[in-house]
Amino acid sequence: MTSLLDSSSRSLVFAVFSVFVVICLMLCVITGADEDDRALVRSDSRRLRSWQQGIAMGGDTTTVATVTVLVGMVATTGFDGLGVMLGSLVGVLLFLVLVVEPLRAHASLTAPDLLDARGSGGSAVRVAWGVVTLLVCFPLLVVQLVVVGNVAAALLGQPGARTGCIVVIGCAMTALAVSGGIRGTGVVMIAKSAIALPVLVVAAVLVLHRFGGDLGRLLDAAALGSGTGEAFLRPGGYTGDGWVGAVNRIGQTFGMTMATLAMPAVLMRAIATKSPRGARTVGRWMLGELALLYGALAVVGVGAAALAGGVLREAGPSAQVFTPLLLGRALDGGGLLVAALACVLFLTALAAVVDVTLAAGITLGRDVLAASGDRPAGRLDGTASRWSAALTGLAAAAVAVVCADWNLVVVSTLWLALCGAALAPVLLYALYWPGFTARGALWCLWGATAVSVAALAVSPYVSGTPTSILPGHDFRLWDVTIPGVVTVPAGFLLGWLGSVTDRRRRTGGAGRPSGVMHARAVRR
Amino acid sequence: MEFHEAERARLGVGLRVGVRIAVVWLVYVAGAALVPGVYGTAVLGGVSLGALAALVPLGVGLHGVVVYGRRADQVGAADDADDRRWA
Repeated sequence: MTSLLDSSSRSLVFAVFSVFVVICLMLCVITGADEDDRALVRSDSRRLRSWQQGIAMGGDTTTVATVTVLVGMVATTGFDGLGVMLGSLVGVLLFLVLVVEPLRAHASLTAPDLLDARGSGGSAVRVAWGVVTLLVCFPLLVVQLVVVGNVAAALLGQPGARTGCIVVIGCAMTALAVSGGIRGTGVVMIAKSAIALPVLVVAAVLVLHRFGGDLGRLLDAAALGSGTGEAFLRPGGYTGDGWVGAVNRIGQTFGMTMATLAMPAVLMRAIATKSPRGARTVGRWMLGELALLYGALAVVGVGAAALAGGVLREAGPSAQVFTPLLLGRALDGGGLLVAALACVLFLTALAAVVDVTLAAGITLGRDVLAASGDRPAGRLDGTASRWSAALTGLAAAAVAVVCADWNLVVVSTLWLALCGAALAPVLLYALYWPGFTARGALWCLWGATAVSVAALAVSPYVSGTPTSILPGHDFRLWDVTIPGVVTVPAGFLLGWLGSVTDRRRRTGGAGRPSGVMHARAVRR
Repeated sequence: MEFHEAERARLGVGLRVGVRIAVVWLVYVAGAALVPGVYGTAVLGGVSLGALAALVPLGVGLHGVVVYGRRADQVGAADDADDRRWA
């Protein structure tokens, strides 16, 4: 993968990236958090407009793994990769209908405010939510930094530069998150989308043009190029066959949908919108952006199978992250498209990690650290969030350097599982079930986390195969690698069980049903 | 309409539409899990049945978002009218 870019294209990519970072830092300082902003989340004086916030939220849903690993998955396995994209889009639709407006109406700064307002909150729930959110955000940050470090080192043609790339991008993301707050990072997201979306759409149009606009011809060529034949067009390429494949497929698509409902950075942006009705407008912009983006990514993935399938097969699974670049090289021998796609990868990585860093920092400062003592108010709230974001970003960069050689697929699966099994059920119960109590929230958050970790611990990711984390041991109990079919129902079941067995609920004590309080807590 | 009743009505609209989208999506996912061979059948110029069937949950979802917006606005309008009457 060392010959993806010639030296002039390489210089162009890094020049564009450097200029982008500098411009974003300036924008973050100019538009960033004021001293009167609360926890870097809300400003009473200046806010992003609805369409701006919507585009930023769409960017939050798109990680660098979406542009690299997911496109590679479409190119090598076909239908299963498209299923993940579809699951994410349906998740956004459900988010718009079920979550965004009531969340904005009830939560003031972070999602546990919603639980407080609905009567199923408290300090313990706030800490539990914060810890699970960090367990989601931190692995997500580490995985993204490692992916972008590997891509950057390959583009430079110097594998030894990976550590330096991770450190540089880690420091840049921390600086952007700390200086920008919700408004500054929103501007970064918009700048990223303004560059990434047109480039990906152009790549998709070039692919379609190559096949005369005939989708059938493109799919036939992709089936041939991927080497899987007709299997490219049906489920099972990634998830496998038999009952294990069926369980994996349900876990993958349904789990992705549930995870999209409760991604911390997206929740943070939904809370920061102007009004509940404005949140709906924001959601529509988010949906439009993602529909366009996923459409383009799907065509890019299928086009990569058709035009660069042989190269992908020869290079092996580790080359999946370079799929867009390989397609760019197949489409445009001059190297301009490859350079543009490389810029897209860098900018997507930077923008995505910036918002996750901010979400993690705000959660750490406001929900985890502050809940154990006196909660800071006003200016101190913002300071706590700022320091927490800095700590989170730098720690994630350090951990990414240490684990850069590890197999991080299990970590990616873990954050998705936690998001879908622990955070999403609590959010939905708190909004729609008046009988949900603080005890139910705690059971759901801690219980679903334990079930998710246990389900992955006894899977082939950890032991029993040569690619496992512990290849010398074999304590797997099943061959399922995507356990959403177990973890998501377990999360809902634990939340229900914890609430209905709550004695204080029956006596009208502190664990009373949430519907009692919510009328007072709605914000306009 | 009392304030909490308006809020409850709005949540009820979201819940009904959300359950509809989720059920259609689950049926699609269950089909992909249980009969992958059928989903792989080429039906329209090389496009597989599974890819075509994906338009159903997407269509239901988009329709749901539109319906939700319209009904939530109706609830909001009724709430506002009630506020003015008692002002």
